[in-house]
Amino acid sequence: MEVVIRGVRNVFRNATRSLAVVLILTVVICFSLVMLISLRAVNNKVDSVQSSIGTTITISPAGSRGTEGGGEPITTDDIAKIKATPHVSSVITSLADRAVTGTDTNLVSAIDPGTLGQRFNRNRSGSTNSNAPAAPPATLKLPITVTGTSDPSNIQVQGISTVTLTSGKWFDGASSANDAVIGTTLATKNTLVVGSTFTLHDATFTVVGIEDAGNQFANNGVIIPITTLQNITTQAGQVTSVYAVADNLSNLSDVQTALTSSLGTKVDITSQIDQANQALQPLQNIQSISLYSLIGALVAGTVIILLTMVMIVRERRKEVGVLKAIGASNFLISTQFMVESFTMSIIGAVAGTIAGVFLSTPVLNALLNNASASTASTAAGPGGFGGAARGFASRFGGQAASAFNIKSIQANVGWNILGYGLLIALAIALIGTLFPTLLITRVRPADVIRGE
Amino acid sequence: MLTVSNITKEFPSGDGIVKAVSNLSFKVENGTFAAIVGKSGSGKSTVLNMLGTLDAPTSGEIKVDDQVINKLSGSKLTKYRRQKIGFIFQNYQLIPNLTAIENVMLPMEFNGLPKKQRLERATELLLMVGLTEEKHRRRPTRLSGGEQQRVAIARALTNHPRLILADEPTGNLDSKTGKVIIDLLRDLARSQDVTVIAVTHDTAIAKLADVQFTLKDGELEK
Repeated sequence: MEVVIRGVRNVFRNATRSLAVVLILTVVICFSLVMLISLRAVNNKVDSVQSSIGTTITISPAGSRGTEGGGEPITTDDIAKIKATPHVSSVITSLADRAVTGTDTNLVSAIDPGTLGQRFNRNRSGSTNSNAPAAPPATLKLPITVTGTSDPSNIQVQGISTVTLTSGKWFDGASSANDAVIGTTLATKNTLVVGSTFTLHDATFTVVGIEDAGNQFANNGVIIPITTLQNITTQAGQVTSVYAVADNLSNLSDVQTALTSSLGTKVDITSQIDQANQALQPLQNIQSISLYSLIGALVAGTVIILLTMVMIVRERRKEVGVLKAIGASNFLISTQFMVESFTMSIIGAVAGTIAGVFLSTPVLNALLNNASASTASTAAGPGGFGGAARGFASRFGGQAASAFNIKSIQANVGWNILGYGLLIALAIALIGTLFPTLLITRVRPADVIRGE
Repeated sequence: MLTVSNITKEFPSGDGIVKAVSNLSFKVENGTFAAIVGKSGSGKSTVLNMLGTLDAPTSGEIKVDDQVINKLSGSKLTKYRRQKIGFIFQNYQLIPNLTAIENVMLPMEFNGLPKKQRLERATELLLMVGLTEEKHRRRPTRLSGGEQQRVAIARALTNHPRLILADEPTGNLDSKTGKVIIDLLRDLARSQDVTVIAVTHDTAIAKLADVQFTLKDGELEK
């Protein structure tokens, strides 16, 4: 116990030097903690964003979107290539079609065309004036969306992935039966319940279930097995959307690259990985800054303690010699110097932890703002054509960042931070005192006393 | 009894070897105050370091009460030094941030003595060497040279050593104080039945010792 008390008292033998060392350690430990807190907060956010983007890649004919646009359907060969791509765990195929009331089906759309419907359908009604609303035909009815799918449990209707079955059951996606699940508004409009029948492309379908996709447009549709839709529309083997699921989030980017390479430009391949990567870039910059700063601060702290303790041991070399001469062991003397080093480090740890707790949030915010601004300015680039293009990219990046809300990062400061502060201090003190301890063991009392 | 038999100490120096002590032999009885005198470079401090196990002779043997001490090493050596030898240095070598009594208590702490006993023994020793109680809590910088040397003597006595080694114990003291310290060492040798070996270049001080050895070029002068 006395050796501990002596070690603590030795801190105050040269108060000015000890104060300077403690102040430096306070800054080092504060800086280390702030960087550690930032690193953890950013890591958590990166994990959260990456886990939220899912592992699904959407492949659709270039130039088409659902039942809009043009392009060529995806073929059986393309689907085989997709299935053969490494790390693709499953493939869901989908075919989109539109059924016109009276011509293709006896169902009546539940959506009133209204002004927007009239305008969107003006070209179909033969208007040549693109500015003036065309006069709607008296019998204009919006077409009904028909979706054929190989996996109704993972169905996406108009981009909505959460489709809930409100009554009945899903059909078997691999079958070619004339079973259908219809949207709630369409069912209400046509007074259909589970077990009712309707006609589509001259075939009679039985309603096996009723679904709710969350909005009126999506609920104005019919979902049937893809093979059935291919058969009744004479599009055997053709699909308009393929959803390839990667086996792991970390393989998502590789799968997307492989699909782009094998399918070429005739398809559009999209996932949230690009958007997520763009949004995460500022965070990844902060991760690097935090990590290197943390390592730098720890090394600096260790070197400071090391040099200070070497200086102290050299200064007290004669005292070490005398202590050995009067019977102190190397262990006892080293312990005394270690206690001195630990005391300075712990005082620095307490002050540094308090400062770190208060500074972590402002520093993290500053890092976020700085990293975001730096990314935006790099993306904006010069003016002219390039500038315009990059400006668009930058806006798109901004959208990506805001979509994942990357600036909403909390610097969580818990009791464990106190533990980390103490651990950092102890590690610095321990490593920084190892070499000086070696110097102590090498002091020979006879040399020191003879050197008087 | 201290028995020194044919000890030689050699140091490497450049390409050659310097013999600091050559075939030295002598005996000192318990309770004797002996002085080793000689000019600077005569090898007297080297002899003292070897007697105190701070240095080992190149050859020869040193025995204290039939125990060969120059063959000890490691923790045994540290323990022997702590329990059997007391050192007194020319510059007192007290720990500056400890009080007089704390300095005296230090070797007893290394020896594992409980605090209460340490305190009692240190007080007793400081009073014995003539340091008044009011000065026991003073730091070395607030004590005179003679008082600091008294504290150093008390520190050397703490663990009941068989051998007290003093290197120029009066070197930094005026002649009057120096004589007082030598008288104290001589009295201690008798009262505590301990062998005291003091190294000095001052022949007047050496004459006060019970036995005197003169060294010249590392050899004993008859």
